[in-house]
Amino acid sequence: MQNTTQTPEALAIPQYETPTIKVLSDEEVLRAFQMTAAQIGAAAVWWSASCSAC
Amino acid sequence: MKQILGVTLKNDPARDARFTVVQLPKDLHEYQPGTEEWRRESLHRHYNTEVQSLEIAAQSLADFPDAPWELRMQHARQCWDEARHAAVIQRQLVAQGSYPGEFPIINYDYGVACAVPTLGARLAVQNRTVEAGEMDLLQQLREAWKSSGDLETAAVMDGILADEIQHVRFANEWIKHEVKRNPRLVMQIAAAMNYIRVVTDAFTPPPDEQNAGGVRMADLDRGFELNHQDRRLAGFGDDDLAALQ
Repeated sequence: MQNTTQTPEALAIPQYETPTIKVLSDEEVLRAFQMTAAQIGAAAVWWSASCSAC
Repeated sequence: MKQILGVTLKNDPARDARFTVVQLPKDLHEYQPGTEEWRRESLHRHYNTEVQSLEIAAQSLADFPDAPWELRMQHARQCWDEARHAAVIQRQLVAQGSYPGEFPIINYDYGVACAVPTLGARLAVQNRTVEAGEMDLLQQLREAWKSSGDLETAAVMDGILADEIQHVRFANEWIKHEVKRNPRLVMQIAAAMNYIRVVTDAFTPPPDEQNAGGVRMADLDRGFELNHQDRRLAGFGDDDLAALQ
């Protein structure tokens, strides 16, 4: 049987990193799903513009 | 529920006839910081934010009657705090020559927070995210009013900030305790935070859009700095803060 991974087409494919799975703890998930005031403020409906230059 | 800009929000809370309630960012007035108009509109907007914070905490008491008693007490105390905040902000608003109803208002915070159907996720959205963001902003507002010579309004901002720390802290403590008991809450919070991102994207004005005050909204500085000190007091760890940078 021909080894398909050795064909010219297969050899032309970049060597991708082997996929891995990381199990996040609850704290890591909470940490990943945070937003800053600047991110929320982009909606232009929340509080007023920054006033560091007042 | 209502549909605005393609996203689903909770219907507006009641407002009396003094107020013009709008639904879109472009229908609000907002001015360059430091101007006379900014002083009045900023306090006017802040006033409605405090009223909404009161309404969100009260709505949580109504929506989640089976929540633990101590958490319900925290929400009840928060109602009392937000009511006092609204009263002192109204006082400062009048001192600036303004009055409730001078500018259009939008009930965005209420529409977003109360569209979140579970208690833990709503705490994550309103207290752990929005009110934590307010701590960042209040730190800047306190210093801005102080540097402008209005020490009384600066002291009001400082007092409100102290209360917000507790509102954020009780939510952080409850969430971190509850996710150990109910891991499903983590996914509910992740979904709710994704919802805020979608809503924020929908409401972010196009680069050239002007608001009803004639100001191009993209020109307004929204570069709020993290308030590390108070966020730590409110239960954010160093790793949490690092992730926010």
